[in-house]
Amino acid sequence: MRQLGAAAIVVLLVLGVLRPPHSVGQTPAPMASSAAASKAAGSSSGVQRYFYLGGESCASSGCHGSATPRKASRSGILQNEHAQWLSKDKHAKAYEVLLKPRSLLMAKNLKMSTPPSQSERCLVCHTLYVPKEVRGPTFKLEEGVSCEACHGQSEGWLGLHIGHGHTASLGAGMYDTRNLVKRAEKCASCHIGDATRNVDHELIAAGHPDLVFDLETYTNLMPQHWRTVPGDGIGGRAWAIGQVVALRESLKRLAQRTQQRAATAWPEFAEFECFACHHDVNNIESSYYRRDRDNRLQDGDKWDVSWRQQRGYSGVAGLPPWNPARYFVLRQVVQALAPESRVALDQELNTVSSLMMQVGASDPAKIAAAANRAAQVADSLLPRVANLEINADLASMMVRNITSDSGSIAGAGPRVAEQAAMALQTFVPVARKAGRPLAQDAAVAGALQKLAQVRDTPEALNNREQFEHFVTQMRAIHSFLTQP
Amino acid sequence: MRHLCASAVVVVLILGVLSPSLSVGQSSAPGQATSSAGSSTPQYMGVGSCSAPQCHGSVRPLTTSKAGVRQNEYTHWVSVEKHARAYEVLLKERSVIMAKNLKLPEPAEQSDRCLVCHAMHVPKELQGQKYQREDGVSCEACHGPAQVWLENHVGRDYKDLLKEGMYDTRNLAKRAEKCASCHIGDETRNVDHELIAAGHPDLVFELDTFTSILPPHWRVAQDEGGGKAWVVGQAVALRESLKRLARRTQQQAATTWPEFAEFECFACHHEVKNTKSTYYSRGAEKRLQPAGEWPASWREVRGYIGVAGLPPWNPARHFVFRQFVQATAPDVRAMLEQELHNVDSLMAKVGANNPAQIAAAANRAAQTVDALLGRIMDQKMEPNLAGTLLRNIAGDSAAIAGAGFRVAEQAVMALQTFAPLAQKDGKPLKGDAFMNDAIDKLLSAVGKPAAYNPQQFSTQMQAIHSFLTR
Repeated sequence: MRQLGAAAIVVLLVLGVLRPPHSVGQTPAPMASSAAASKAAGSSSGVQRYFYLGGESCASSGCHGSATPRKASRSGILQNEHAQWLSKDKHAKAYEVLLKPRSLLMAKNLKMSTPPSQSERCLVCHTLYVPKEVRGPTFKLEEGVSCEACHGQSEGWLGLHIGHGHTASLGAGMYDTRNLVKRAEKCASCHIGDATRNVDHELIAAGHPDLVFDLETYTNLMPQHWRTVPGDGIGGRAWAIGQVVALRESLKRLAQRTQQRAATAWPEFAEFECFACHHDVNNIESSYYRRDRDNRLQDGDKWDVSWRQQRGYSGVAGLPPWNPARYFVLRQVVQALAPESRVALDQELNTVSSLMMQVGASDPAKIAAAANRAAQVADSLLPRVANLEINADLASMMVRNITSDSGSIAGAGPRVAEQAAMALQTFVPVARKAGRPLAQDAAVAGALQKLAQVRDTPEALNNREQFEHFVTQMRAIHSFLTQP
Repeated sequence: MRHLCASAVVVVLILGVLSPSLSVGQSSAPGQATSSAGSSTPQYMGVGSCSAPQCHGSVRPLTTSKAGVRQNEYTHWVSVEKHARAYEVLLKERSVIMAKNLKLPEPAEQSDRCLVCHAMHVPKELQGQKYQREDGVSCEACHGPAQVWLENHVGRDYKDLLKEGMYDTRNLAKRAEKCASCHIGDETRNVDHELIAAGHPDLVFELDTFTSILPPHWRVAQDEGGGKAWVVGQAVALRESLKRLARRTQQQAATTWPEFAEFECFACHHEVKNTKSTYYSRGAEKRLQPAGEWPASWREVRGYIGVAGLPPWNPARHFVFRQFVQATAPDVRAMLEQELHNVDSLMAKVGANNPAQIAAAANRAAQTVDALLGRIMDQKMEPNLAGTLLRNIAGDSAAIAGAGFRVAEQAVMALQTFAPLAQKDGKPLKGDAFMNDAIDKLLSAVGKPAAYNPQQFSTQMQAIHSFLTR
C-alpha cells in the first residue's frame, strides 16, 4: 500500500499539467476581477473548474509530509517533499517576506494604497494567487509559493494521482514539471515575468532585487525536493533548456512592455543590464595640471580613464544595449549545436539591440516585432536542446569556449559574468580532460569557487580590480583545459 | 603714455562686444561659415597681438591705473589659466582614447567636435596673421575679434569699442553667456552623453566659483564680485540649460532620445548594492533560518518624489537657485516651479514623451528665467539677503543632499559665495573659523562622487544652519 502510494505520489511532485485558464503561469490578468476570471475559466471554456486545495492537503506524514525521507521507491518518492519545501525552500517564505520592513518600505516607495501582503502587484508572484472562487476550504494564501503553484490545482487529481499514472494526472490538471521546457516556463512565469507579472524598474528602484534566472543553478539552490535520477537533465540539459526558455520569455516580455509602456514611460529601464548605468563614475576632474604655490599651472599626473573607457564601446558610447545576459553565454551552445540558428539569432538580437539603443526614439512597434521574431528563433531551438545529451566532450567544449571569451564576458557586465559563472558551474563537473574529471583539478575548482562569488555581489565586478580578477580566474580554467 | 595705454588696455580684457555673426559663442557651425562671412567681418588677430610686454605681457603687475589694468593679463592667462591649455589637452592620452571611443575619423586636435570649445575655432579667412589655433581659448575667444580695435583701443570710449567688435565682458549677463557657450553649450557646442561616456568630464558651471578658480586676470570691480556673479550666473545657466534641452529634442528626436546628459550623472550612475535578500540564511542540511535585516539603500529609505526608477531632469540648475528666487522674486517662484515641473514630468516619461512638447515647455521656462534675469541684474547683494540665502540653503539640507551629488555641489558653491558677504549678530562672517571649517568639510564631501554620503552632507549642512540661527 505504501508502495502504491509512493509510486503515485511522485507524480504530484515531479510532474503535472495545468489547464490554460487556471495555470498560475498563464492566468489571465489577476487584476481583472476574480469573478470574471473564474467565470471565463469555468463556463465559457467548458473546462471543468478545479479547486486549489492548499499545501495542507499534501502535508500529511503518510503522503509528502514525512519529517525524514522514506526508503525510496522505484519512482523516487521520498515522502518528505512538503517538509523539504517548508524548511529549505525559499518559495515557502515568499509570502512572509512581504511582511518584512523592506517590503513595507517598497510599498511606500511605490505609493501603494494597500500593504504588500494585500497588493496584487506583489501577491501575483509571492503567493499562489488564484481567484477566491477556486480556492478550496484548506487553501491559504499565506503558504506562499506552495505545491499547487507549480504542480497545478489538485482537486482533479488528488485522489487520482496515487496509482493511476502520470498521464492520468496530467489529464486531470496536474502540471507537467517533469518536462523540462514546461518546468522552465513555470519558473519563468515569475522569475522573468508574464502577462500579469512584471518586475519593472519601478519595483527594482523601490527595493526589489533584479530578476536573474538560470534553471540548473536555481534548481540546485532550491534545493530539489525530488530524487535526482540520471537523465533528469541536471548536468547541462536543464541549463540549455532554461537558457533558451529564458531568452524567449525575455524577448516576449520586451515586446509586451513596449505595448504596455509606450504611452507612459519608455524605455523600461529594467530591459538594460543594471550595471550598464549603475556603475561608478570616477576621474571626472582633469589631473593633467596642478597648481604651484603661485597658482601657476604645472604638469600634473596622468589622467586615468575608467576601464570602460579603456575597453571602448561596440556601439555608440553612452548608449546601453539590451541586457545581453540572456544570450551572451547561450550563444556558445547555439554555435555548437546549430550554427545556422546562431547567425539568425545574432542578427535578430542585433536588431533588437540597435533599436533599444535608440532608447525612446525607436518605434515601440518595431521593437515588439523584432523581439517577437527573435523569440521565434529561440523557440525553434527548443526541440534541439530538449533532448540534448550533454557528454564530457560537449561540456569540455562549452567550458573552453566560455572561458576563452573571458574579456568580452566580463566587459559585458556583471549580469553576463554571473551567467557565465553559472554555466561553468554546470559544465565543469561534466567536463573531462584526458579522461580525468575537470573538477578534480584543484586550480579549476578554486577558480570556479572564486567565479561564483560574482553571484553574491555582482556590483563588485563594477570595479577594475574585480573585473581583472574575474578574467584571471576564467583564464586559469581556460589554460588548464587547453594546455597539452 | 603708459597711463594712457594702461587705462585703455583694461578695455580689452574686461569688456567687448561681438557682432552676432562673429561671436565665438554664437557663430554658425565653425569650419563651415567660410563663404557667408563677408570681408567686412573683423579678423581674430591672435594672442601675439596682445602679448607685448608694454601691452598685456608684462611679467609682473604694473602700477595699477584707475581703470585697473595691470598689463600682465596675457602673462597671467598663459601661466595660470586652464583656458591656455585647452588645446594642449587634446593631445593627451585621454583625448586619444576619447577619439577612439567616439570613432572620430581624425585626431581630437583636428576634430571640429573638440576644437569648437578647446580652441578659438574660427574660419580660415577670419584668422589674422598671428592667429594660432594652438593658443587654445585665447584672448579674443572672450573679448571678440580685435582687428578693428586692436591698434586704437588705448584711451577710447568703451561703448565705441563695443561697436567695433569688442565683447562686453563687463556686463555680467553677457560674461555668463560667453562662459555658458562652452560650459553649457550652444548651437554648435554640445557635450552630450556620448562624449561624457567616451571620457569627457560632465559640464558643471557656476559663474562666481569658476571666476575665482580662473583666477581673474583683471582687477575685480566691487559690483561684479560676490553674490551678484552667482545670481546672474545661475539665471543664465538655467536659461541656457533649458534652451539646450529644447535644442536637443530637435537634434536627437529621430536618432536617440532622451539625451542622457539631461539627467544628473548620479541619478543613474550610482552604486547598487544589497541585491540579495539577507532575511534568511541556511543552517544545517540547508534549512532556512531567520537571518539579519535586509538593509535598504539610502535612496530607497529617502523615497522618491515622482515614480521610483525614473530620473528627473537634472535639478542641479535650479535646486539652489530657487532659494534666491523665493527670497527676491516670490511672485515668479510659483510660475517658475510650475514650468520646471512641466519639464520634469515630461522628462520622467523618458522616451515616451513628445519632443516638441518638451521643447515648448523648456522654452517657456527659459523665457520666464530670461524675464527674471532682467529684474535681478540690479539686485544688490546686501548682507541681509546673503544671510537669508545662507540660512535657507543650509536649511534645505535634507532635500539638497537627497537630490544628488551635483545639487550638493551647487549648494556648496553657493555657500562659499554667500558666507563672506553675510553677517551674524552684526559681525561679518567673512573669515569666521566655524564657517570656513564647515564649508571645507562640505567641499571635501563633494570632492569625489563615489565617496558622496548624503547623510553626512545633510548633517554638515544642518550644523551650518544651527550655527546661523543660534
